[in-house]
Amino acid sequence: MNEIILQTNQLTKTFKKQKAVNAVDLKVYQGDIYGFLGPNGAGKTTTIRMLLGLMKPSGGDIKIFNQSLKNHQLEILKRMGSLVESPSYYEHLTGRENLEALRLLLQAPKARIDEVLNIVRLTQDADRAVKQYSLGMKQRLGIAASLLGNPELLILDEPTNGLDPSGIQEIRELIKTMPKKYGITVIISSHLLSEMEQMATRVGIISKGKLIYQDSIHRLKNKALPQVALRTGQVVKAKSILQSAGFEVGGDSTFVTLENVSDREVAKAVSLLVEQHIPVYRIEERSHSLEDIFLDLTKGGELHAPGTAS
Amino acid sequence: MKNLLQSEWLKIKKTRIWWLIIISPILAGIACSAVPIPGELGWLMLLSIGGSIHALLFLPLMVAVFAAFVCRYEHQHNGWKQLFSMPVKRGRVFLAKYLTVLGFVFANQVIFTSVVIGVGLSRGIEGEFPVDMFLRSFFGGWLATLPLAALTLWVAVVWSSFAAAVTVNVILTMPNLLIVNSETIAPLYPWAQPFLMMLPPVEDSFAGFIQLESLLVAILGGLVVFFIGGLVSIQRKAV
Repeated sequence: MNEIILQTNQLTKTFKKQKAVNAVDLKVYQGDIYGFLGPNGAGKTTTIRMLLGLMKPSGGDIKIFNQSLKNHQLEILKRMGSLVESPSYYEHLTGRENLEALRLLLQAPKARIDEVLNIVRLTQDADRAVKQYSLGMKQRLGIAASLLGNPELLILDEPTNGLDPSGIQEIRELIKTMPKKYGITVIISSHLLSEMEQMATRVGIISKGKLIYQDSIHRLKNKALPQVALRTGQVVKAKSILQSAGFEVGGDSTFVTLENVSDREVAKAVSLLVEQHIPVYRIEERSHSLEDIFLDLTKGGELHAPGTAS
Repeated sequence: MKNLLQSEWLKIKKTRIWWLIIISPILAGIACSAVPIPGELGWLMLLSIGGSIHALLFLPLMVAVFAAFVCRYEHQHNGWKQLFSMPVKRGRVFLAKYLTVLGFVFANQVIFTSVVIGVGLSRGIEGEFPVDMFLRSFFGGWLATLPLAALTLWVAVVWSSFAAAVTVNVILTMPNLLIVNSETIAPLYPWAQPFLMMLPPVEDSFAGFIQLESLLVAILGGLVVFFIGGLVSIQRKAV
């Protein structure tokens, strides 16, 4: 596994006794595109603000590049780029001047402005006032700004918010290239799982301030594969029989569920049970879309999807 | 620090702030053109008239407008958020904005003084040009705005409304008309200092030029209190 680039430990933010972010342990590895998912109001932006030092945590701590954010904020910020919520810009200036105002603070080389303009394909509009930019262009300018300092870690909060489908597509393609082409680790937040599905390598799901899931996108996708549920008598015994036969077993008190099974394997499982005189009442297939799982996860605030031994 | 100032300059120079720094000098210039000149004391008269208009009302107000200007573009479209996620210390940001405000006050003073001198020359005032008096008026007025700039910048950082800093300052400037006539309060009231500093001394009037008491209490005291207040607020500002 790659090196950990960002880690939070029991990160908490309390607003008037309400925990907006509650004991969150994020772990982001180098080269990840980390999808930070959750419904609106779940605590994504609050978490991100704390990661950027815009807001002080009420509890817990943040380590980025193996340094404590509290004690090394400026050094860390110098190696990070960010875009938080709606884009920030000075509308009376041109795109290029906007970048220049930030470049001065980052002490980046002047040529970097043309580079980032080129990356987000704003070169042609660079000398127009930002006032005249469309939302998509402003968003791209924001991404350009976040890349100015040649960051190792990029934090993007809902970067596709308010964009049309082609704008979303464009930004998505851009983000996908970051780790490979520029060696940048990306944390990207969204309330849409479908969006993450297409670019994230790992996901963290936050709901009501709590991190309820954190793993690779593959694991999450596996949950979306159909399961076979067997309603049997003596469920506990049935589970242990199947487990010892090498099946991945889940389920509750009435059902035994099998993950990733072929038809032949189902037949084998059933005959195993029957041989042991365990009655099989019903065999059904359960399928879940990724979106179902996400909804299920975030609604309950904990894992309810069947067979989620992760 | 230099890069913060350059960045601030880049942001402010394309705003309408330029129109504002000429208002007060123009009004003062008009008054100076109209006033009758009593022989040898011509320069004194001009500086008193121009200074009354400029220093009593406009200078303190302009300080607030400048402060509101350097914060406005940060408030408008999430500027603070972007600025504070840059590798810069917030205290430095406050200082850079403060120095920018002082720079515009300085420019305002330059224009005001030039206008008064210009009017005087064109009207052919007799007598020697009182260099000392003008220099003291120029720098004294500028120094006197130090605490005002700190307070109004503090307000402008905290409240996103452009009007907030200006309103606070108007409320505090208005009593000037009464306070400058009070021998006991005037030397201690920060908003009265530009007037006291800029106007030439007339006989035994308490008004006019640097009095140690004013300098220490109203100017330095105000500066320290307001500047620290602003620094603390910008550190704590959640964005």
